[in-house]
Parts: sequence; structure tokens; C-alpha cells
Amino acid sequence: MNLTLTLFLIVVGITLVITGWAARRTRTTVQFWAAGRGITGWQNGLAIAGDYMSAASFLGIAGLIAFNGYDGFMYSVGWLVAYLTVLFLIAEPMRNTGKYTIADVISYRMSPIPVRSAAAFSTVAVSASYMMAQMIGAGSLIKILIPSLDTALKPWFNWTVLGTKLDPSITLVGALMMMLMGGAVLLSFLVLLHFGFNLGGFFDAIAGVKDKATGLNFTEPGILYKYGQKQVLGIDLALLDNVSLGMALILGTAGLPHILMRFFTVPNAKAARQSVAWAMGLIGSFYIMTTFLGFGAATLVGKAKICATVAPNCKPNSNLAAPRLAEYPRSSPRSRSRRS
Amino acid sequence: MEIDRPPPSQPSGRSEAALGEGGPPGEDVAYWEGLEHTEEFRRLVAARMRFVLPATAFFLAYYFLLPLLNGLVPNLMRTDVIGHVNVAYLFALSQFIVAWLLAAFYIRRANSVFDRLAAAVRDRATRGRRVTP
Repeated sequence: MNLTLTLFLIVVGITLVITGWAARRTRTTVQFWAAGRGITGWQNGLAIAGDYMSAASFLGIAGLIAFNGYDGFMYSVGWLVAYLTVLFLIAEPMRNTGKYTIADVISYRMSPIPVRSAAAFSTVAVSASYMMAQMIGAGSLIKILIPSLDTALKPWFNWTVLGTKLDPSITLVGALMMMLMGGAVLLSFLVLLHFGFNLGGFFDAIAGVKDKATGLNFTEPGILYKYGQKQVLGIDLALLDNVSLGMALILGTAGLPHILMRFFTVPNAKAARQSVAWAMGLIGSFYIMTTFLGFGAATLVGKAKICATVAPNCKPNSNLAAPRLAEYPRSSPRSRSRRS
Repeated sequence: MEIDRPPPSQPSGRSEAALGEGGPPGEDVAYWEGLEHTEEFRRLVAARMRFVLPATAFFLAYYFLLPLLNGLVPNLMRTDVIGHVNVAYLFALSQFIVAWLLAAFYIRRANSVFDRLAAAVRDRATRGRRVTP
């Protein structure tokens, strides 16, 4: 059996065992919804960070940087700064209400039936669109990591759902992400090792990568947001795009259900704010690493080679920047000749 | 007096504990009624606002300065500072540092000041008080 698939099934197995063990220990309502409100600050911080750095944010950012250089890094910045909104305005008040769900909090002071209906509707709508993005990311990974599984399951799973291709990976998303976070640290280390821990040399290499359309090098802003080209109402369209992205990142994070619900599980306001501190430390460090992953993939692999199938049918897929970078030492003739 | 019994001032999150001890679930409502008019509560809200409002204004301004500068003065932002590390990249990195520092300041302030003021509010709530609105 394929090594990736074996590792993968082991992780899924461990997850199921932990879930089964936790389910047997759950007795009361507060245990089911809020883990008995006994989660400590650092545990909760790990949980927030783990939830947050998913396929969309982690693979996505690495890919955006690999394809667009500096402009992709704007996502990393916005997604960390967003936690100040969570820390200042959301975390402690959520904890202090002492409820189980967000709908409970809002309906506390308002008419419960319309509030709960709206909350249920928005949960399903947000989760469905969010899950699509996650599954596309995970599906790309399956294709590259376990090609045989992809081929074998295709006749059953290759449906078109809401205009999006649903890959055979629904239950595997979470497990893959766990492996990716460990992998990201190792991969960043290897990229730096490749450049002999010489950051100057690393940035020289990035500056050597040019974007074809704009002629800018990859350390420069302006590749994804093409400033000074189109105008709307007398304002630069790319600038508006970038500011609007910032607003979505900074205000949107504070509304993510999987982040908000974490604050119901801690015993007091102090633990709520400590969990944000832990999450910010972890998320910030990982997002700085996206520089090494994304720029590393741009310099060592190159946009043209970041795809699921090798040439000549190579269709660039930014979600695969990090996995292709992980493969680099094996696939690159340059490093092989260097070793011999 | 039982020592491990939580003070009857916790918000309704306490209800599952209270059920075990036979306390009526709606009990806390009586304790919270009118608390927002007390001196202690106002002091807590004012202290939080004094920190949170300027800090929020600052981090929003500092964050949006990045896309604005990138769009308005791209040539300045593309200037190399050390080797090929340019102003834009350093400014983006500084966002991480600023976010971490602001979070650290907030947590220090909250642990020392806000928690003490919140304890005073809880204390006031447990002493059955009647406040004129």
C-alpha cells in the first residue's frame, strides 16, 4: 500500500479513537457543547490556531505567494492582525455570556425564533461555501499525494456540485491539515537550509523571479494588485481591491463560527484572552513561514511546474505550491547533481 | 458556609452547576438587574474603553496604511533596504510585531486592571444592592 495512504489512515484512525474516547466521557449539556468549560488558555489557543490554519489559509497563502509574490503575503498580514479585533472586542464578552452557541448569545436580548432561524441559515450557508474551498484544496492534495485513490474513486465521486468539483476527500480534510502544520515547519527549515541560512541570498533569489505580465520582481507589490491601471470613481481599482480585502480579513475573522465557539469552552475571561495570545503567537509564526514556503516554491519550483500532473499537461494550481516544494529535493536535477 | 460553591454572581453559564445544588436557574437575573448603573460597573466599562478604543483605532490605521502606501507610492515601497529586502516587506513584517505588542499590552492591562475592576463589580453584585437608576 502507498505510504502516504497508510500514514493517512493512521491519522484518521487516531482521530476516531480520540473522538470515541471523548464521546464516552461526555455526560452533560455543557460537556457536549462547551467541553465542560474546562479548557485552559493554551489548549484553547492551540485549538483556535489548528482550526484557523486550514487548507484555505495555509495552502492558499503559500500558493498566492508562489504565484503573485509579495501581494499574496497581504493575506497573511491581514489574517493575523484580525486577531486584535477578536481579542479586543469578541473573546471576553463571548465567554462572559456563559452560553453554548452564538445564536444563544444573540437571542438572549432579541426575539429568539427569527434570530435562531437566521443563525441556522447563515451557519449552513457559510459552512457549505467554506467547505467547498477546503475540499478543493484537499482534493488537489489527494491528486498529488495518492494518485491511485484519486483514479479509483473518480467514477463515484467526480460529480459536479454547485459548479464545483467535489473531490473524494470529505473525511480526510482534518487529518491532512494536521500533517501539513508539522510539514510546514520542516519545509521552511529545508528552504532556509537550501540557501545556507543566508536570508540575503534567499531574497536575492526571489528578486530574480520576474512576473511576466508586469515585469516586477517577486518581492515587489503590484503583481496581483495591478496599481495604476484601472480607475473607479477616480480611485485606483487595485487599491480599492486591496483595501476591501483588508476589511474582509480584519472584520471577517471576528465572525467565523469555528473561532467564536472556542470562547465558550474556557472557564473565565482570563483564559479567553490567554487563548487568543497563544493563537496569535502560533498563527503569526506560521504565517511568517508562508514567506519561506511561497517564495521558496516560486524560486525553487517555479509557477510553471506547480501543477498536479507533470508536463506536457501541466495546468498551474496554486494550492499545490507547498506540496510541490516538499517534493523539490527529489525531483530537482540540480540538487541531485550537487549531492553526488 | 460551603467553600466550593460558586458565588451567586456568575452569569447564567453557572446554571448547570446550580442545578446540581438545587438553585433555581433564573436566580442570577435578580442579582444582575440594575448592575449597569453602579459606580463599579461604569468604572470597568470606562477603563476598557479607554484602552480598547484608541488601540483599535491605531491598529486599523496602521494596518490600512500598508495597502494605501503600496497603492499610492509603489516606487517608495519597492525601494530595497537591506539587499533585496524592500520597504514593503519590512512594513508587512512590522505588522506582525505591532499586532503581537498590542496584544501583549492589552493582556497585561486586562490581567492587572480590568480583572480587578470586574472583581469589584462581582463583589457589588453579591452584596444585595438596590440602585436608583
